[in-house]
Amino acid sequence: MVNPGVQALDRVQSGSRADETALIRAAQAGDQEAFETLVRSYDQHVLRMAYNVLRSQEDARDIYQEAFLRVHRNLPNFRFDCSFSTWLYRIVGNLCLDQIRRRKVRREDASAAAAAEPERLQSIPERRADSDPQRQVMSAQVNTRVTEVLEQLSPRERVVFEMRHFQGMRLRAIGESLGVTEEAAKNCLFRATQKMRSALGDFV
Amino acid sequence: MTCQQVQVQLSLYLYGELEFAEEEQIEEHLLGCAYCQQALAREKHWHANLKSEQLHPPHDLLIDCRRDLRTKLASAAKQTVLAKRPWWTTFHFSWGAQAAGIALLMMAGFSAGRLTGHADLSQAGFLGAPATRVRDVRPAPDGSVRIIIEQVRESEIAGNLNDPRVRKLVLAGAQEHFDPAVRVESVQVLQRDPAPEVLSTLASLARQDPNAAVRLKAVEGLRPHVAEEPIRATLTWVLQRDQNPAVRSEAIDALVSSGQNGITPEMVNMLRSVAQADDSDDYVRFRCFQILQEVNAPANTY
Repeated sequence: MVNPGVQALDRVQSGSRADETALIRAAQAGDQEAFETLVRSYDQHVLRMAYNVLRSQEDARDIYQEAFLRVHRNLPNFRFDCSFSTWLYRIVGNLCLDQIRRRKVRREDASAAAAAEPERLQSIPERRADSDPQRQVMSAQVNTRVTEVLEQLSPRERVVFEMRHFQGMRLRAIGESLGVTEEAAKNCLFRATQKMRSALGDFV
Repeated sequence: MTCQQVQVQLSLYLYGELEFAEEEQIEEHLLGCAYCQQALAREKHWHANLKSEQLHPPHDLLIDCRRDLRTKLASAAKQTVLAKRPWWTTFHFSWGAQAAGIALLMMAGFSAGRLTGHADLSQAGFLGAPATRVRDVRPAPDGSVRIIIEQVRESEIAGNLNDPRVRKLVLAGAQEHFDPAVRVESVQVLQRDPAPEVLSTLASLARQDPNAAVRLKAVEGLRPHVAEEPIRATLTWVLQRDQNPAVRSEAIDALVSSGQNGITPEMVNMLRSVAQADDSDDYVRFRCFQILQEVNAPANTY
């Protein structure tokens, strides 16, 4: 049975379609205020998603900037073939995937270099999530463990899990955003939750 | 379906991502299998706990991101204007355009002086660029143009809920803002504050806000205070009267969150009547049955 709380929040997040269409058209015509209103409708969720996927303020900030700059650049070409949120999360999802893959390559390079030259000082990328005031009320151990387990997921599993579990997006919307079928997104989610469950177990 | 088949699917079931037929099979199995019901309860618990591990970026980060984006877009816009303008127009202005420019600057100064208010609170954030809207354009007898503009200056204020002035603003956001997304965010912030006026506002929102997501968040915020009689009364009212099943199921969870000691005979009767009501949502009904089972109360009245 569906817990429709997510659906209720989806309805809040999407807002009135007609209003949003008018806003997009105004922004396409060059109305900066309309564009800013459009950004404000989504930017908290975008930032939260990037922050949860990447667990880094700096990376989340970069994703935020790049996502909305791309939206601004390409908005004149948006033809309403899909919903604006699908289009936006396509951009954000792909940016997050690229960033996760880049970080993995950097870590592999750093490890390889360290192995080749063990005496050379290396700055290993920080793996622990950044602290922020809210995390002081949470168990630091649990959060660290969740972060470690998330890093064991493939980039796509991580993004799909984040989109479904934390953002509450439907699998169809996730598939559209990532350019895969709904079935593929479902299989990805299934693998991600199985891995999370077996790695975290009763830790959470 | 076997228990193993059911339990493998429980996560997707809770996400609501199974086909209708698969959901039906699982629910049929659950009705008769206490073992899988317990597995479902554990899975739900795990989902909820993991969701609580969601990180929330600091508000300062959002403010910084918005400011940086605004700066970059302004810079990009300037570049575009300069690139598009033919070089000879850089140095040539018509008299009419000059007069219009002077009138515009005069009106801008006048309007800014009139419209710029003073915030009650000490402002810790940066002041956003004013949004300008043209309200009226009139030709003047001397050939110039008079333009009336409206300028709204947006301010960003940072503070703690401990500050009653900050709390007042967030309460206003929760109750008065036309955008339900802002009301939801305001309620989420208020959830941390146990002040009586906050609880009173959350209770009022849980009963009356037109948006289900706002009511859901308000009920969530009341959960830690379920031991207080007025809060229990509000949650009971929501369970019995709210139109949205998600809000009702959140109310159930809140009411029973204090454990079996908090489940009074009156609540057992209420859960029975909700479980048996024809207009109850299936999930709400299922949840009522589940709780009645846990306290060994029969589901039927005599």
